[in-house]
Amino acid sequence: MRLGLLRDIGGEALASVGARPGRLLLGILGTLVGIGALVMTTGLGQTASGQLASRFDEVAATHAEVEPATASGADGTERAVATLPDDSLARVSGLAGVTAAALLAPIDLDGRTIATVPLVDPSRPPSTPPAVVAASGDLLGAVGGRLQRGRMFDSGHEQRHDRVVVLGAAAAESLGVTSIDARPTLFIGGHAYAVIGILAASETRRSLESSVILPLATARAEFPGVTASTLALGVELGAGALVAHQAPIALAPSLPEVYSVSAPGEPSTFQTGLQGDLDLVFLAIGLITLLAGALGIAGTTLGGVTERTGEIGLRRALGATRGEIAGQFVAESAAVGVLGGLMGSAAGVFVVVGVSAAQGWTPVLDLALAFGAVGVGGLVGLLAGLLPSHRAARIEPAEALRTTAT
Amino acid sequence: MTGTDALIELRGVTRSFSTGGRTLEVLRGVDLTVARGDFVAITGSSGAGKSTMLNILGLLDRPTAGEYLFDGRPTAGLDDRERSGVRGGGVGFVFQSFHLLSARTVLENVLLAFVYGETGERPLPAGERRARAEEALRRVGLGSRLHAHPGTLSGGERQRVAIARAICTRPRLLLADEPTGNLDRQNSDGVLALIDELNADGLTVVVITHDDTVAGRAHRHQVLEAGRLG
Ligand SMILES: Nc1ncnc2c1ncn2[C@@H]1O[C@H](COP(=O)(O)OP(=O)(O)OP(=O)(O)O)[C@@H](O)[C@H]1O
Ligand SMILES: [Mg+2]
Repeated sequence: MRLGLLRDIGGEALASVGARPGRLLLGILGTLVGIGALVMTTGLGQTASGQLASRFDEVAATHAEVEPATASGADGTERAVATLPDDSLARVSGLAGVTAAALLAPIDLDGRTIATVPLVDPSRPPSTPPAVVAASGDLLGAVGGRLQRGRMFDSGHEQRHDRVVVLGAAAAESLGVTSIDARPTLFIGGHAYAVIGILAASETRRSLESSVILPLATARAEFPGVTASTLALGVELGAGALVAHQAPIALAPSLPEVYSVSAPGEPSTFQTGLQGDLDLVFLAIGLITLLAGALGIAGTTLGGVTERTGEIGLRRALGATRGEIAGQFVAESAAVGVLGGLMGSAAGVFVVVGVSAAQGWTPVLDLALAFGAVGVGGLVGLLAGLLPSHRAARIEPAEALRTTAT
Repeated sequence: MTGTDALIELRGVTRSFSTGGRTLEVLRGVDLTVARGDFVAITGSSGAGKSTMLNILGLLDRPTAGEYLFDGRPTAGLDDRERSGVRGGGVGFVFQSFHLLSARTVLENVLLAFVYGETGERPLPAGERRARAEEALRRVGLGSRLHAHPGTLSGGERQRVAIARAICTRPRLLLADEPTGNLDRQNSDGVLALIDELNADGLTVVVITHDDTVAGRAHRHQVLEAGRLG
């Protein structure tokens, strides 16, 4: 009997909801907007991070870094167990799948200053100088770099030990170099270097964007003890594993395990952090709208209870228990919530797909999310119906029939 | 006096309402026994407490004091579910102001009676419900108006829909509160003839009325006055 009754009351709820399209629309609206905002936020978030991930995957799949393996010394410090040979570039350039190679060596300034003027005012507080890196080979190709202005130094500069530098964009800004048209000069430890280019970005080594980069051969002539620490490689798509296997052998045929090969580091945490903040804002907007939607459903259902006092009295006269009256009103508001959730979810998916199409992204959306949102709508409606249904159940039938007699 | 024939019995029933600190004693000790198959008319001046008494008979309200037995069983100890069960399965109501749902068709309004109050029995299959609803509507002369909406019916037709809704579950007791109060002479006569007919088929009827013609049709006629039946 219970199952049949449940079906009957569900049917009564649906029929009653359908009989008042105005109220229905009013009730649906808040849930629709709230659920829509939630689905849209989550969907766009997923799509954007999917976008980020696929870009990152692509970068990771086409670049590699070779570094000497390290071992813990007796005092607990990590030490490299090998060095990268001077002819590293020549050794790997012939390997199948390698599209670019560059050696990178950090430079210890050892107290030297970096400035755009020859004499530094000693009374001025010293600012932390940008990092200095020496590089050799096809740096742009090996780190996914892009120039903003000027040019990269080449093998000619290296052979002549020319004093030239390329500035990372952030380093250029902090040094006050905005253009290279006027042939700006950079003084490193009192020696003048010509700034010939500005590096806009580096996909695998963001630190280069805030560094001063000079030719490795020049650095070796100027600074003592310059040692290449990283061999950056550009790799053909799909050749990563092959290169990872062959590069160490090319560098040290008898002892390849002294080198480790890795994919470049994680995508910038700055970007993902920002994404997280935006998600939070939209999530908050969605939740607030949803709350407003819940209040909307509660309000319209409560209004319905008052409006339908006579109907409640009649149903009680026909044998409805208090619980069955309450059940009907909860079912009605849950149905409104489900409808709002359904429409909101559809609208959210529509926006995600639309925005993705406009941006040329691949829309990424958890199906569970789209369906879960409908469930959330139902739950919101159900919760919103609790108070009104309690009110409806408490209405005295004799009173209800007496006050609604016309 | 409690014969096995008594379907309902009021014993010293009182009902008072408290409003704004004042207590209004409407029923002051009502005794009434209605045998199975009886047809009782209750009259009395406006505000005498006729509807109050009928609400108690229909288990829509509880007495302040006194006893009410339905089918020989005291009702004081029944909970909401049991009282609702008696209403749904044993009592049919007809109100002066029809109480039809305007958004539903005639047939749907009658079918509403089957949604609740199937106490313990097997639920009626949908086909059986529909057959009984149509049969009740044919009986009240509305077999051809199944899919009409109440708004398109005359007052007399609406009241006949309400009667069909009250009898389609085959209750033992029909309670009618001024069933002809909103109807003209001709329509009243139709409704009255119908109630007569249902009573002749064995239905126990208690009808409240201002109308002497209605009272004249009943087997018994009692007047509610000063909170008591005379
Ligand atoms: N819930 C209530 N609260 C307060 N007073 C009530 C309530 N129900 C009924 N009354 C009062 O009880 C008295 C009897 O009401 P009732 O509706 O039973 O009269 P009636 O005999 O049916 O009158 P009528 O012929 O006008 O329908 C009236 O004075 C009415 O105001
Ligand atoms: Mg009355």
